[in-house]
Amino acid sequence: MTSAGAGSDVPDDRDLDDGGLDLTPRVPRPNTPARRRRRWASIVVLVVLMIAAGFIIRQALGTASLFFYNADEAVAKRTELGARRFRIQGTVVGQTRPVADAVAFTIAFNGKSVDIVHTGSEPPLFKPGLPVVCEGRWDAKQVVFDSDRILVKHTESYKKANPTRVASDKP
Amino acid sequence: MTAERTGPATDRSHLVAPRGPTGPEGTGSRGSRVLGAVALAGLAALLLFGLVLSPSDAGPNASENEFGQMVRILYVHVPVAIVCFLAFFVTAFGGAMYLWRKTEFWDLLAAASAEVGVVFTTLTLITGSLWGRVAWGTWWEWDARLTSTALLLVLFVGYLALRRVITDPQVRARRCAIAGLIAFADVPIVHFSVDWWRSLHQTATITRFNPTIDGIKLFTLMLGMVVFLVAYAWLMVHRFRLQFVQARLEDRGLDVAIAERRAEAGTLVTSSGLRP
Repeated sequence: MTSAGAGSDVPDDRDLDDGGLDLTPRVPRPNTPARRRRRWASIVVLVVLMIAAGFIIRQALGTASLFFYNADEAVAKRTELGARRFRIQGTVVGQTRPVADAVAFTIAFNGKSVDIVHTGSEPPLFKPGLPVVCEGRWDAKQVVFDSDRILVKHTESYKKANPTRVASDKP
Repeated sequence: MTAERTGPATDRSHLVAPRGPTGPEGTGSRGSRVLGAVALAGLAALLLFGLVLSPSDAGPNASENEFGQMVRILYVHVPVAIVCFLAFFVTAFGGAMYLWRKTEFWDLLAAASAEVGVVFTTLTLITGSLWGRVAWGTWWEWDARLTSTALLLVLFVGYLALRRVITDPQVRARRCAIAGLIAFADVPIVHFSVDWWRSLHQTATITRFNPTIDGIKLFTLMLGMVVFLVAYAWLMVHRFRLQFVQARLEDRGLDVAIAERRAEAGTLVTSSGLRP
């Protein structure tokens, strides 16, 4: 509320009888072209965000909820998975050995081990004893897993490694 | 305001930045400058500890993962993620308090915190992506933790967009309070995602009974938390004040509009009644 004659920005505390207390009803802010444009732009942004959210939720219900099968599950579901592409998780056991133009190693989880033949590079952290997630599919004979992508699933430990400690079995 | 004829190119700067001692010229104050200085000093200490004094994760004291020098990203990534959760909690809390008390303060607090929170979420995703490239071998995967964090960013950017779409301050405050509370539901999902689903992202290192980090690394991590909390506080002081000044400007704009409408009506009736 501004005081009229003075033109200052001091709030008008005078009584209604003295001319203060402006009780005229307020009207909504004028809808200038600039404000209308900004509003439309924000609506467009909201729609784009909703599409993005929908996409993310689709991912969430798909890959995010079952990011990998553990080695024992992949073995159990061998026929069901068939030639489908999926991710398998396990702890690397022993050293890698070169095989043709690929690299072979074994992963184990929950008592079951799976032989992996990996074509391509490994991430820098890759080493025996760490859990890894391999992307690929069962080979034709469903004995060996052909992987073309390795992701190292490092553990949550930042303490000095205990050489006798076994890597966690937690999926 | 006097009932002058106003033309299209009127200079109204005296309304926005009043001459004289009545209005602030910026959002800074002595308190905020002290806070900023503390944040800067803390940042310097964090750089010292994070880059120099704390060890790289290699050699005889290395963890089983052997992250090497890149473990230092941890000292930024974890604190900004925690602060992002805090910021969105403040938004949700402010929204709830607004719905209860209906005072402008809570709405401005919620809005300011949402914006700062979006900045910290983006930082979390960027530092996390760098970490992933080195540690996991990928810039991005759609695992549970990353997916839910991306969703969190989208939800709160949506909150900010919603604030621009609604023009009436009371309607805006109410609807955004509800939107903020709904969006906040994703925060516990993000936090527990590594436990509820199988994820590439590691499980908790510090939010557990036996933290799996110790020594200088743990200290540097805690230092990082404190530094980014102070930075959040400093950003909030400024952003809240900016929100407040904007709200006052909106009120002024209304007064200007009313005065212009009256002036157009051609009467010399001032807001105090029929007085010259």
